[in-house]
Amino acid sequence: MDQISYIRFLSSLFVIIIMASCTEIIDIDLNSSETQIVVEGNVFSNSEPSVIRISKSANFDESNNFPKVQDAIVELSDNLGNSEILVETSPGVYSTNTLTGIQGGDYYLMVQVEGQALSSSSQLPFQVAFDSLIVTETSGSGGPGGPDNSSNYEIRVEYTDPADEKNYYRFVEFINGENKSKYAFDDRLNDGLEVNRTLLYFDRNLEIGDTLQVEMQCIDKAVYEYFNSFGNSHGVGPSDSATPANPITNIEGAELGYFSAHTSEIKQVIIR
Amino acid sequence: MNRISFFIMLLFSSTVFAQEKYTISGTISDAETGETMIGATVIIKELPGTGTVCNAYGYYSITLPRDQYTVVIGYIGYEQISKKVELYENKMLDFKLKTDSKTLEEIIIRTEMKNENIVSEEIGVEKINLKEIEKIPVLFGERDVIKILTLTPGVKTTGEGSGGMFVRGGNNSQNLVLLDEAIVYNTSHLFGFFSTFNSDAIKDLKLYKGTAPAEYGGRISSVLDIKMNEGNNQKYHVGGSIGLISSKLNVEGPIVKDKGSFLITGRRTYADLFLKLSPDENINKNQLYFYDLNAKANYKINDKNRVFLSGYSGRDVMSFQDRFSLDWGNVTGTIRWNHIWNSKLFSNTSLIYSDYDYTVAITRDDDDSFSLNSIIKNWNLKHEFQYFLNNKNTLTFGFNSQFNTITPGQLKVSENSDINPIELQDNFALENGLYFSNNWKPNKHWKINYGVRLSSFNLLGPGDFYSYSNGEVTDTTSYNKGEIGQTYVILEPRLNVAYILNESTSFKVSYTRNTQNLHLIQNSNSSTPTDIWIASSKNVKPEISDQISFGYFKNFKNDEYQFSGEIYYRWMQNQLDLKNGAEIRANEQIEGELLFGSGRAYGLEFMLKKKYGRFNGWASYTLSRTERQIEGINEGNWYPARQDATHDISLVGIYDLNKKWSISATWVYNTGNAVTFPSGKYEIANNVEFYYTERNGYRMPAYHRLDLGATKYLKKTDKFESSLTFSLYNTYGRKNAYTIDFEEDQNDPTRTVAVKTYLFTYIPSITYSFKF
Repeated sequence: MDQISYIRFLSSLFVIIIMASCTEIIDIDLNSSETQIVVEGNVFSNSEPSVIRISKSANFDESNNFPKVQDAIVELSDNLGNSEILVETSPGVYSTNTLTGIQGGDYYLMVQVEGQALSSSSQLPFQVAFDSLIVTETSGSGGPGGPDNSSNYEIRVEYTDPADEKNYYRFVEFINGENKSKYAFDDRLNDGLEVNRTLLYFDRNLEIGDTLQVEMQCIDKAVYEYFNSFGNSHGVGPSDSATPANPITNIEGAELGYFSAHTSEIKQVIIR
Repeated sequence: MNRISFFIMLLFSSTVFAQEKYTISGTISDAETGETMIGATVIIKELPGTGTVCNAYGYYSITLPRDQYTVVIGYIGYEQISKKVELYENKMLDFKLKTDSKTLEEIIIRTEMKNENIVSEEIGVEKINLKEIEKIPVLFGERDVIKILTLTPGVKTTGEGSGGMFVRGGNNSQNLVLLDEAIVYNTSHLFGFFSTFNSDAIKDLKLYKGTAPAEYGGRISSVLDIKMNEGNNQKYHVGGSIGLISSKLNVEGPIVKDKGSFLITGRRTYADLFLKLSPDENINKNQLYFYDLNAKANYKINDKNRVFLSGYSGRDVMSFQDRFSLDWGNVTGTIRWNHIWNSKLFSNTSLIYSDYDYTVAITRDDDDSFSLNSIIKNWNLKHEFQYFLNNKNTLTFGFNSQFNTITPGQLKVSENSDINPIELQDNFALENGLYFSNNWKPNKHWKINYGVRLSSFNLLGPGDFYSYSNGEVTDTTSYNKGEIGQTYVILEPRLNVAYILNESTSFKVSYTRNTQNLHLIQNSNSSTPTDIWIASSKNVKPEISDQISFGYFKNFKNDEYQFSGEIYYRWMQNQLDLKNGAEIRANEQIEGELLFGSGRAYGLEFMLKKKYGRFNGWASYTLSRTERQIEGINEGNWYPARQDATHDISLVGIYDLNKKWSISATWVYNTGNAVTFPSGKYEIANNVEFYYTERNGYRMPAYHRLDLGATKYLKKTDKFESSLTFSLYNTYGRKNAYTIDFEEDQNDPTRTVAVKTYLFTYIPSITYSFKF
């Protein structure tokens, strides 16, 4: 449900219109933390190679060029007995040659890196068709805090949720190839229905000529919980919905990252 | 009844028959308005240390040996009355006090009970008389009693727009807020920028910081008992005020002179009217306002019977471009009957209703919309006796029985919606309380209030109740209508003891246990209107708090300066929090999303108050800590609760320059709230994300602010009064942090910066008030 976003949005509307708020950059002395291994693993259903990225966390005041983890031993296997040691194709990026995902398959990840052993598993769900991607122009500005362009677009996705089973979805939005935002949905409230969902994103800046791509993924429960628990991880304040925390990872032995076997279907619209 | 009172008499007094004794009793009220005076003092001049205080209905009763006495009646800001009484039979004496016209003079006549803070056994209590705070500077001209309470020790706010108050480390939802005995579930308007209490409608309020006597129960942190004005039973009056964002109007007058009166007050904000002025369709189509309506009537049937009827309704309405709307509000209603059985036995019977509801609606197309509605309501029957046994013992006993209905969420959808309608089952719960307390004054050095409350809770059918293991349902039990699903019975002892060393010094100690069976589920400590209440169940145990406190009370210069120092320690059991990413909307199995643990809070509070004279005000300081330990959060280690603020200072000063002008200032300072900031960052899914280590391991920047106010009395005659109030909020323009966000540096995308959002620098306001 999007109502939390709406409530936060309304409270910020109130704050901005009525109370006239301002922002400024401040110095905060943040602690340093022990470097963490970050694993991002994706197994695709469309015969693309599976890719596991391994990197490290950095302290807050350090650069966003995060250190890559090289020379790890990464093994991927499935419930049919196939297994493969992945090859490091570029620093910190490990890919399969033969093993690809199929719908309904179970996938197991084993990583040995710097004396640590990490593992995870994920089930690749059956595909639910991405029926359509709808972009409509809404009149007026996006909203307070959003870009001040004269027009705003509402983006909706349509799919038909299969009845009587638990389904989890993730949508990834790209504008001109750049990843903009992520959404995770379940079917708790719309099991078995034709779903028409707005991708709510108040800071979206879409202009004529832009290419909008939306990828629909069917994911398993643990991956849904990972993305759903991302919640609000960027700041704190009275209008925020929850105390920030690390998302619930499905990787054993690590605090950060996820391993997702998922379907993938992309739709594209050029804004006119 | 007589048999019971005879039995109680036997139990509590062996001297009652030894001497010939008679009782003086009656009601004390304001001569001009007829309002009864809660807390007015009755002193017997010939017997130092003997006296009593009017109860919540202005009623007093005092029993003395046969003799001649001088009865002295006093109340702050009023001229005292002395009356010679020859006591050879039971006497009923009603008194009417006149406003003290000498308030502005240097020295005012002192009544002996100005040291009530010393000689009362009450500890951890703040009393606010609305007259005393009239001149304190305010935000947007809205006098907000909850904001004023946060200027007293042990009471905290978590900043602008967070709503409510946090008392001695408890949460907002652990305060029992009563308006004429009815529970007010949500005390915030406009996301917490204002409270639901229109100060024009309020007569008196009292906050017990976890030390409430046995007649109060149901919340573990504090009791805020607010009494509404009764209305003038002498003359008709219309009053009101016009401010920058809201206006108020009140009408009061006699129903039958001297016998009954009514009062109706209303308040509405008009921020949305400014939105309508905007040429931008997206702004002028938005709605954003709230209103409050308070009404009260009372009628004195005869000397022994009086009835009251009071009600409140307030609502926030907001909508965004016809696409989204949210509205919420409280409704309360109270019917009360005061009955004087005899000069020693007073009773009050109340039937109370209150509810809170919210509706969220989202409309996308004409045929595709949904709304979510949630309600909590209760009916409460309360029957209480006060038995003024003798001048050493006053007994209070009674029961209350409260039936709660919670409608956790009804999701209604239009025909072609992509959402399935959901109707969560209603939950029914019965809370009963049986209580007894005695206010005992064994001699002039000791004052003791001891009591006990037996609280019982029943979760009632019909409904399916779930059992959980690791958040997953393991078992479902169905109950039929009237069947009891779960019962909790807890005995809550209450004890307050004062040792009065002399007329200006006392030491006090208190122990109190409180329990709570209705729990607010919220994502963080900031409340939103859509927070959900749940009742105790098989999985959710009653919250229990035990508090001990010690206090030292000292008055200087003839009670002109009052000092208090208190320390407390509070243990809290069965505290709730939510899992990361919890689904709380329209979720039948919401209990599976909960985490359980405990809490502790301790602190030291100082207050120095100057209560009388042309200059008055107070300075308060609190040193405190409040922590939680929840399984599943912070690796099970103790962590500071969000509202944990180490230091908290408030200074309040009001000075009457002359008959035309009075000026005021407040200054507050507190350590920033405990917050969770990142201790590192990493990249995932093409985004930079933050790595968190400790829960609430960081602090917001310290909060401080100076507000100035001035009141000019334009006209003051018997027929017409008017005044102008000026306020300057945040006078030195401190940029207090409202939120802190971490974002990519716009100048250097490889870096991350912290961005502070702040709301107000200098908010001036002006309010015109009138009364005729």
